[in-house]
Amino acid sequence: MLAVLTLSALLVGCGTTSNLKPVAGANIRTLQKYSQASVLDFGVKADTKTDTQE
Amino acid sequence: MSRRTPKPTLKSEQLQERGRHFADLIALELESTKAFEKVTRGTAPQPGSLSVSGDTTRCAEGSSSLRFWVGMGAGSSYFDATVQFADADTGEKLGEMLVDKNSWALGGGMAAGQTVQSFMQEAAKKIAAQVAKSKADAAAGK
Repeated sequence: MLAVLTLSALLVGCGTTSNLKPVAGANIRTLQKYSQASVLDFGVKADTKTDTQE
Repeated sequence: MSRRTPKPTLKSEQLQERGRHFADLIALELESTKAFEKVTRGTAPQPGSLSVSGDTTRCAEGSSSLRFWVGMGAGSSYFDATVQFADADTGEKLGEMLVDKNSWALGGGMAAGQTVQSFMQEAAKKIAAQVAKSKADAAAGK
């Protein structure tokens, strides 16, 4: 069991993805009314830190 | 007099391409949850839909060789992003998520395999799962 847990921890990357948090004043329950989702291109923040393996 | 060749950097087109790819992954994962009847991809939201957008705030491939052979943070890879959920019609922001991923600092084979692509896939799965859960919870009145 311990080996499985250890392996699982190693296989996933470090760091996190937070849970969905409602913005202050917003009602997250309104999510249920949407039957359609539009996923837009992600932008790049001006101060994005980058490097590349060329 | 010597001439210097410009140092290669991650071009903005490459970063934008990664942003598009991350959005593609989120859309695929959202579709697989079946939480929405329709999931679209594009540069503008469809009327009446939940808009999912965001920004990449850190993107570094690092070096898989350095992660494998050296470790201790050398050649680390990173992928950070903010994800926003909003009403497509009103633009009202409803929620947000933060992605903060990095390779295992101690190095070795596991760290070498932790790439920006793998971080994007993990994050996209979590994002889709969270949206589906929040939608289900709201419908159940939780």
